[in-house]
Amino acid sequence: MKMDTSVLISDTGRGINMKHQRRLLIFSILIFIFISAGFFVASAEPNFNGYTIGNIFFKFENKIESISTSKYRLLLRFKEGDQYDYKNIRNSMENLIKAGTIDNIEIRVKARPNRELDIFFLITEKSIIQSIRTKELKKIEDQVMVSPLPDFKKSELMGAIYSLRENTFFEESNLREAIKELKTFLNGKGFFNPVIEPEIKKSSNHKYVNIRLNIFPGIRTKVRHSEYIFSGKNQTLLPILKKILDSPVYAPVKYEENIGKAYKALKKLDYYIPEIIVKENFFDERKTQVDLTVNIDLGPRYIFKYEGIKNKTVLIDQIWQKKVFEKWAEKESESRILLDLKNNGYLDASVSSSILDNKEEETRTILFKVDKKKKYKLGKIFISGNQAMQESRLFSLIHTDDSFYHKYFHLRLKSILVDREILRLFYYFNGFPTASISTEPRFVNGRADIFFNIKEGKKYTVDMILFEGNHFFVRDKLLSFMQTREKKVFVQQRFDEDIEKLRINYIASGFDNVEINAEVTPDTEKTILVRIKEGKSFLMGDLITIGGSSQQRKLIERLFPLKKGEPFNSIKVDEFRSEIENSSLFNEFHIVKINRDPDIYDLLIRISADYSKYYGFGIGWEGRKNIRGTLEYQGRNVFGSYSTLSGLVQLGPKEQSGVISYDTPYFFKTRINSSLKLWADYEIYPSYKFNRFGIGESLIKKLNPNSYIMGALSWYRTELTELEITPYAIDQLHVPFDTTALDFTYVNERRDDPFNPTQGTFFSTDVKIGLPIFEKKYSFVKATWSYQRNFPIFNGGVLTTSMRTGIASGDLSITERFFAGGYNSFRASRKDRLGPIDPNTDSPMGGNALLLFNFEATFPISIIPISGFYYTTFIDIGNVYQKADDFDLTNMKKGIGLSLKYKTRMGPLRFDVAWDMKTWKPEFQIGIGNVF
Amino acid sequence: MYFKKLFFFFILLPVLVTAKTTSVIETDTIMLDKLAATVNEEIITYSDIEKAIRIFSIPQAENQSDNDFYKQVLEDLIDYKVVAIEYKNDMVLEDEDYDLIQSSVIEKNGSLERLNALLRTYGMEWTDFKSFIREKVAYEKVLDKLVKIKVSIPFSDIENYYNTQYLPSQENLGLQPKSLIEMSPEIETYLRKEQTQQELTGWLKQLRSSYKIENKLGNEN
Repeated sequence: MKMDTSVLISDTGRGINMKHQRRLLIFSILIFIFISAGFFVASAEPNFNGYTIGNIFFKFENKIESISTSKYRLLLRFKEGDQYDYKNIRNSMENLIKAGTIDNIEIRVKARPNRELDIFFLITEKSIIQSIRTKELKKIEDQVMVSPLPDFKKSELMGAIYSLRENTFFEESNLREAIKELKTFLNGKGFFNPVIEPEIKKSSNHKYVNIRLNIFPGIRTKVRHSEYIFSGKNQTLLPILKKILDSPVYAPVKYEENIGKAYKALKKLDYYIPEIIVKENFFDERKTQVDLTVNIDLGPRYIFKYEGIKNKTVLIDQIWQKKVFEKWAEKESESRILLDLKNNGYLDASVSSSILDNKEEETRTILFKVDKKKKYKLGKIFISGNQAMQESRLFSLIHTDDSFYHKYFHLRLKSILVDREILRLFYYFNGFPTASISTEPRFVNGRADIFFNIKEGKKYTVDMILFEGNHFFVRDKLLSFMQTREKKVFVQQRFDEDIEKLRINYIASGFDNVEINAEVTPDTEKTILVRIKEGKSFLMGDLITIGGSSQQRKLIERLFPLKKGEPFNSIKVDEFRSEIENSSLFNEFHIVKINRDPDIYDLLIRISADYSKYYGFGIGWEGRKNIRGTLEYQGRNVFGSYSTLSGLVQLGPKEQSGVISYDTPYFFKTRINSSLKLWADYEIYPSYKFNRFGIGESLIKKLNPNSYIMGALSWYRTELTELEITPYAIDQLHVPFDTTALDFTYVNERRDDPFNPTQGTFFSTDVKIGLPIFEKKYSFVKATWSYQRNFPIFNGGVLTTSMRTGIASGDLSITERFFAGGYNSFRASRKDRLGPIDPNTDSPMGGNALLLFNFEATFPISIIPISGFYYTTFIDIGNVYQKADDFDLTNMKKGIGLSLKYKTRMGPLRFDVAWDMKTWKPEFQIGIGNVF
Repeated sequence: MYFKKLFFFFILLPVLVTAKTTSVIETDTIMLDKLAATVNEEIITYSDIEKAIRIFSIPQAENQSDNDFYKQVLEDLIDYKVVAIEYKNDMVLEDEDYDLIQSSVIEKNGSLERLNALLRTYGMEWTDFKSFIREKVAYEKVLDKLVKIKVSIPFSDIENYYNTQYLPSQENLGLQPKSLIEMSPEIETYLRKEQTQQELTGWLKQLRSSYKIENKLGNEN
């Protein structure tokens, strides 16, 4: 009997319908297949064509932002409601990366049943580097540091890293670069196998990272053997060179320095072009030992001899230090010596030279024979060959004959050459580009008459100016930008400037890619064709600032020169970029152009503020204040602003002071430096001492690279603690008084070096108005101005003249009056003792008027072999007057003196001795810095 | 009972699987794209890697993991991008420059129709395809002009290879060696290829060192 397999008897005795069970099984398998298939289908390439963009979100580490509130929204190439297009999503990713603050982006989408697509940007922002430290490891795995040990400091290690900086964004690529930089530094020190392991610690919110670079320098390369291959007969030099170059360890950087020392030593022995080449032969892959082969080629020894003049090697030294043709060097040396002679009045001097070769001694002697003849003063000046220009006009351009020196001492060739060039340029800018001017001296009775012979050449004019390709600007508008005009002279330089002006005007109108070329016919009446390819014009779109604090971003937005919708002017953008970079407000300042729409440029500005803090201390000495210590603190971009907070405390046995200032480089939208100060000090003067504290605000505006103006409003309370003169008016002992003062200052600095000037001028003027606000009876007006001029004279000297004047009205406190006398004003008297003296106390009283002149001639002291020593002869003339009405030019004291100076970077260290020309009593002064 | 258990197993199995997947995806989102690398401020995404694998038909080596394969393709894409940026202003790409790469891609995909079908799956048109291969075209052109031309194989190198490599290998195999003259072209081709590769590697390394390259794929583990 066939068993009915459709039914089975279960353990419970109940029947099981097999057919039903099989159907269930098949059904479940089908469901499984269906669901699984759906799963795999879902993981195939998504295609959302035809979908509309729904919600857009930005998801960060700890938060989710919707598009409406996110700072990144302006970087997206699509918005809610747009049709889905993958290209827009990809472009948005590119823009987000350009922001420079994002480390990684993942885009996830969620399709909704109504064919809307929600987009999620999962963003990992870059961390900011909070600190970078190095740590030297003495041991790593199986390696231990052995001698010779590293001799570099931690500060040197940090100084070797350029690619990583605190308060900038952390990037892996920069870390790799920093490690390479450290390895290069260590290689230079002789450590060719350093191990550098970075340790990165992120803060809990991942916003900051602290980096520690663990450095195991490794084994320092030892020099096993140095072989010297010396090509030169003078073997006595070899031990000297060996002493300079030999070293037990091989540090390439140090070795290069030693080679430099060797070159200097050889130069002193008249070897001008030696060559020292080092070849390394490392023994092992780890470069722990090296053999060095040092090839030394001394080259010829040059000896310079002079007949007819003293040693002029200083003029020609540099020519012979390069490997050039000797004949050329010889002739060039002759020219330089001749020029020097002619600049010293020997206008018809002659120089000849010869080279004597001594193969035995390997020397070359270059002999310069000079026939100086006579020194000439300037005679008359003649001009010939001019037809197009009036002689009187040409004479007005010549300045050689204006010089007293040329007429009464000697004529300097340099001046003639300058005048010749001026005449040539005059002709050039008047349409004679091929004009040539020669000069010829004729000597008569100790004077040289100078003849300027002019060959004018052809005159070039403009016949027609044509434009091609211009659509935005009409012809007349383009011509208005140019200096070159039809029917006027043609000057190539001016025309080149015109082309540049056209380009600038197009760029200012948004034509960022304009190309302008010009064709000019070669004849004298020129036809000019200006070809213009305007390209596309762009408008300014959105300004997106990322990074920094909100205050800093607002500053950038306020200062940015273009508004949305204006023509995109890339020149203004570049100027803006330079200005902000030069302000040093930010560690990083990047501008990136984003072309979201075809005709619009959006600008992305990424900033990273400098939050550095500086601490300093020092000890110093100032003539009046004596010895004192200084403590200083400066914090940049404090409280998320763009201002600097600084504090300075100075403490000494005689005086103490402290200042806190809050400096802001921008006042509203302008580049005006604003400084709010709080200060307190205790000061000592010969006839008074006082305590003072106050508060003030000053604004400084730079007018140009050489000048600035300052306005300040301050209030301060003064208490005289000691008074050596008879008390009067506001000046009472231990009676504090308030001063509210408005101050205006203008400074123009044109000296080549403010501490050690050799040429240039300095001018300053100051007006101070004491306002009767808190002290109703105390008001004054005080004005001072000073002018200084420096110019170089003979023998490397400098002549300096200076004038200082001050005048005031009102009953000034002694603390505001003018004083003079001492090492920084009138050197023939003691501190503050020029001017009125209290007859009762014999103490200086100061005055309401000051007039002071200083004249100095400073020369280098050549007999002392060390450079930097100078001597000065000086005359000081001046006085301080009790009242402005007492001003009297005939009532001025005079002093003369001598000074010995040693030049330092902060000014000369001086020892002065001066005599009052009435009493002839000597006064000795020591000081640092110049008198004025 | 047995079939009931099987029934519930097959019903629950996919549910269990999908349930696990749902918790990872969180809000039922799927990944559309992700950053794989940046070269200066230009990006390469996962999608670029996948397209490159399929369009250029790049084969995955046996025993090579997916991660390593993706990294290898990414390195190639970075090379193309670096070269394209470096020589952007010095080079104009003509149609004939595209022809070679296009032909190769069409051949590897079987036919133009199949290539177009593939492009459509990515939502790409023919112009998008040309944009996609532009960097590779530029790369190959620069290679031709700069690297390959530099390489020259002197006869002494060919002779040296013949004597030190070819002859001994033929001896070991018990084969009759061909003459130097006969083997020269083959040896030259081989040596040229080797040297080109060396030059290329050195040149690329130097070029890449002047670019800021951030590889995000390397951090994925």
